[in-house]
Amino acid sequence: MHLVQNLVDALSLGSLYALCALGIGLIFGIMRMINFAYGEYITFGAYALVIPSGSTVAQKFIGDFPIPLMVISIIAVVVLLAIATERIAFRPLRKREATPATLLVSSFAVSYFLQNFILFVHSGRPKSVNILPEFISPLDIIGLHIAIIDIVTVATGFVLVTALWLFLRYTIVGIQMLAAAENFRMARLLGVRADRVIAIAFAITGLLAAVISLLVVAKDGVLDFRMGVPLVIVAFVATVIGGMGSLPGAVLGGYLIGMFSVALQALLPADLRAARDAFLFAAVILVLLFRPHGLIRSRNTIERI
Amino acid sequence: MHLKIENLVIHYGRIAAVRGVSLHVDTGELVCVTGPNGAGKSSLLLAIAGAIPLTSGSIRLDGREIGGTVPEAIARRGISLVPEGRHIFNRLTVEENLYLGASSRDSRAEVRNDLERIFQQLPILRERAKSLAGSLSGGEQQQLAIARALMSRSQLLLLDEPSLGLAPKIIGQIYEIISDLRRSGLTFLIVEESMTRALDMSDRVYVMASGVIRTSGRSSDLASDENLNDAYFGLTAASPDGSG
Repeated sequence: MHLVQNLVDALSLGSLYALCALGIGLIFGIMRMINFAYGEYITFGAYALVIPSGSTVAQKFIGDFPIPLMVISIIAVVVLLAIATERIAFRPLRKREATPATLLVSSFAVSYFLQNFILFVHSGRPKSVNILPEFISPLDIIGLHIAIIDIVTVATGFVLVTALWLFLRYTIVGIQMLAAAENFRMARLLGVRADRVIAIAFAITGLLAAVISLLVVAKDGVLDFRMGVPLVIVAFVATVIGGMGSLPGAVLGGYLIGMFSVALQALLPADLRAARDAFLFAAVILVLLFRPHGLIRSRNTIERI
Repeated sequence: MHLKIENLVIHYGRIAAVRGVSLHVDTGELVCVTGPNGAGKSSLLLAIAGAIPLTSGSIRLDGREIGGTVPEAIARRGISLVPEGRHIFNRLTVEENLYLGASSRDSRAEVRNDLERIFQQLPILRERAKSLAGSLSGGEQQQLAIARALMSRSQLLLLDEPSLGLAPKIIGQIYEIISDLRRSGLTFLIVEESMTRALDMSDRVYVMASGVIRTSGRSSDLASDENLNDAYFGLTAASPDGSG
């Protein structure tokens, strides 16, 4: 394997994990809640590409649309799902002053509900589906084989991270969101509408999850009703590594875990590769031993009225 | 802008922080609530602003009940709280903090005009407009917190300990800003732990201890009241109607 190919792989996985971590980090920043249902937003978006059936080779549904329409449709589906879960499972609890622990349990409930819903509708058997065949074929650039999907993933990651940063920094709603993340009660005292800010934050995580599901399905070509679970766990770990409550930290954590994971894959002796994730998470523990508050420490978790 | 509070009771868990407080503030008045630490003064302001739930009682603004409403709705009714400790957004710029103060308003053009006016009144904020608010000194932060509240165009300002943690010279500046604003027609309800300062700046004073109002009256009358210190330190019995 060539170094440049590994580097592209590493950046690609890093970008994917960074997008995952942003979704978890954004909601945590504002609500102090870990939304584990985020994984199922990804799964739901992936399954929306196909027609429900018990078959292992899926018939495409939205996955058959022209690319722009497919992207928009999946984003619409997942954004609506994210907003709906907030309305039904989180907002009523928030109004009753539920603790973050209660919200966390509620997010587990939503997570398992959606998993089992998908299991019921689409059956539990993994399905193969090919949505963007032209993206899988490798590009031959000066003797290197680089899959288009990896370049698309890196570019998408860069564009979305930049877009989110611009949104937070330069729009009124974005600044309200940053203020809410720093001190929600004070933001509300100034007239920032809590429900609106949170609904928009959920819509953004829905958008991120939709894009992630498209990237993952385009690359792997497999649907599984638990496919979102490892992604949400990585996202959670990335936000902790980066520093809970810090969005740059979440992005950094995502890139680091993705890149380290690819590095292990490339550098570990062949017989140890099966234990790659054991090495990965051992490294996570090590990082936390030295930086228990993550790489970028956020004061967001402390200062509140 | 007439604020009328009747028999307000606030609990933290099972502990009563405010136990049946009644008070009122009329348009253009500057009213102080004073009393020792733990008297329930801050809870009172937080409850008026909707930041903490009330157990019972009523809070009316111009005759309409606002008790139990969410804070963002109360901000839209024209009440702004500058909480104890200021709570500016440290990691946003001074300008962003000020724009956030206008979150309840729609007209961007008007908001920009107001920002310009505030920059004229408090030039230090213009100088530091692009700096992170967390880098300001305590006095500057307090100016920012008050200015941020003004950006909402609220008619009633609730200030919790505006002088807390500031150097005496700076405290003087802050109170000058407050009296300027008062002349422009704003109404104030201020929590001030120092009785001397409370009597000094206000039209009327409520003395609070252990969650009830011990005594109240015009500041000019109370200044010569020999029993005032006893009331402050909670040595006199609470009067049930809170009028002292």
